[in-house]
Amino acid sequence: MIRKKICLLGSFAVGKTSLVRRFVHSIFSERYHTTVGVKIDKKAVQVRVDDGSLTEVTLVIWDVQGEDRFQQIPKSYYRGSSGLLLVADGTRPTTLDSAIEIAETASEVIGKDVPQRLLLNKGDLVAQWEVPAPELIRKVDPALEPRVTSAKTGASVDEAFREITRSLLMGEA
Amino acid sequence: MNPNGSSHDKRSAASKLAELRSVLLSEERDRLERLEHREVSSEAVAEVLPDAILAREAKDDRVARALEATVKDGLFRSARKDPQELADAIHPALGPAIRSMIQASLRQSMESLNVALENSLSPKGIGWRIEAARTGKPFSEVVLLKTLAFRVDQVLLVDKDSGIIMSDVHAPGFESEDVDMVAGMLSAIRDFAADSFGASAEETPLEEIEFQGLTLILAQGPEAVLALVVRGNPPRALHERAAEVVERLHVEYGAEMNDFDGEASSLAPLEPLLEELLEQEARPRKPSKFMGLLPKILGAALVAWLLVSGVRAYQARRDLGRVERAFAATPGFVLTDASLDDGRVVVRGLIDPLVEDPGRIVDSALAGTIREVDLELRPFSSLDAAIVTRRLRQLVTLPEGVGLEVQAGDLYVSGIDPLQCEKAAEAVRELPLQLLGIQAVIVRR
Repeated sequence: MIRKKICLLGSFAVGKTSLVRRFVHSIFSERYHTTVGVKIDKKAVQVRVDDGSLTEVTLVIWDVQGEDRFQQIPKSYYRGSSGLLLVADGTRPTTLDSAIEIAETASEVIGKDVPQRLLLNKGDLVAQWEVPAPELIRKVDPALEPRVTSAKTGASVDEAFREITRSLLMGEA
Repeated sequence: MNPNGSSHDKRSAASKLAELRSVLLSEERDRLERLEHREVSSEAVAEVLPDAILAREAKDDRVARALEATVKDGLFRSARKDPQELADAIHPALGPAIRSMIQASLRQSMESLNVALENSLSPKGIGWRIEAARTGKPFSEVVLLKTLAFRVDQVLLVDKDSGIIMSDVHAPGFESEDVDMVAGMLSAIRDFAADSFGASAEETPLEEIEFQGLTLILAQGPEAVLALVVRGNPPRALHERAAEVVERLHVEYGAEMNDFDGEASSLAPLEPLLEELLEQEARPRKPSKFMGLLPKILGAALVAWLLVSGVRAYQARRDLGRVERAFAATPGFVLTDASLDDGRVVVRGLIDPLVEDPGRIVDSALAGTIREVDLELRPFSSLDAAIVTRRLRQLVTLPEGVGLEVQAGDLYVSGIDPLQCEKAAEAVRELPLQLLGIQAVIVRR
């Protein structure tokens, strides 16, 4: 059994916790966010790697609280991550910049070689996005392989987890 | 050819050759001279020295051996010259180590002291003192050994960077929460504690998390953190044991741990080392034999007490009955009350003075027992036939062969000699017979 740590990063209320709530096994209360600043969940993901074999990976997901001027997140939370999932709220374009900023802080700790993927959440409200999705996506570094997800409908969430798992197994950034 | 001229030529040729050599080889000769006189410039040495030391160190430890005396000497000189300077220099390294050593030994002695105080005067404590004297161990150590009461339920080895579980073993029958998430959260809490209190997780790591009855003992190495989930009261020595195991793990499996990429099976060989910690100390605190038996002893005592008091009550009532019956059967005695008072039989009644010693009646009624009997008796004159007869015999002197018998208020005088009988009847008739309850005196022929 392979276990990998990934961090879920993003500002407040972008839907990180909702994003994992439906997809992960959890034993800790969401109170941990406000106390320790992180909640740890787990998700078993099966991916087909390049040689065609099916591999099961247990993702240990560190759902890290969004940092603000009142709460500093220990940088050590990022240590040992094999991947970063950056989450932004499609209805609030500023959260995209925050996500990238947080990812940069994390990269200082874990290096730039780990795969990073961007999720533009609240895809169910895409009609209400100030900036249309294609335009937002164009602004983002293509290496982040941005995708629109919806924690509400579950659209693309599973795929996002599976894709980052495959990338981190293959050692792709 | 002139031989002299020839020798002169030779000399001049030799000197020319020497001159030529000095011109041609002057540079080499200078280098040779420098080498011979070891005139090596300090600049040149400075250039090569660090590399030379590194190269030599890679080969063997001669540099260290060579420098040992000098470094030692230098340290001594520095300490003599300005001890404070040296103290300042090594304080960051020594301070935490000394502190944690002192804390550990203080805690250990507090633990021993508590237990020793609790037990010093008990029979168990005295037994431990004897054992300490017999085995030559300090008393405190014996106390510690005897009072360890804990169980290591689970041992987790967690990757220090990622918080991913490397290996875990648990005691049989122990149901653990999801170790992946527990290990992650544990690692987050370590970081959180270190960050929140301005400490470094490396220098002053979180060593213990304590809940009611449950202790998490943490020991960290360069690659991994070992966490022991302990139920009960672990002794301080368990921390040291955990630290030793972490060191051993790093010595024996350091490379594998360094290469750990989330694949737990790669670290399966180190499980036996973790299992040692599970087996480490499974001595349950046996409840003291005496305390365990206490309820039984109390129960038995209660039953015995009930039995004894039941038997006593039965015996007392039996004796009371015997005394009552004996007095009721005694002529000249009227029993007004008989009762038990704290195990003593109390008899109240009226007694005719002619009744023989009432103590003897009690003695014969209660032969073989040691019951105490209080007699509260008041005198009276009894009209019982036997007493009346006895009284008549006292009042009149009866001739031989004459008998008296009282029946239903009549006195019968009988005998072989009718004359003697009449004489006796005469004497009786002179008495105030009403006082004796006699209506008529009849002579039986």
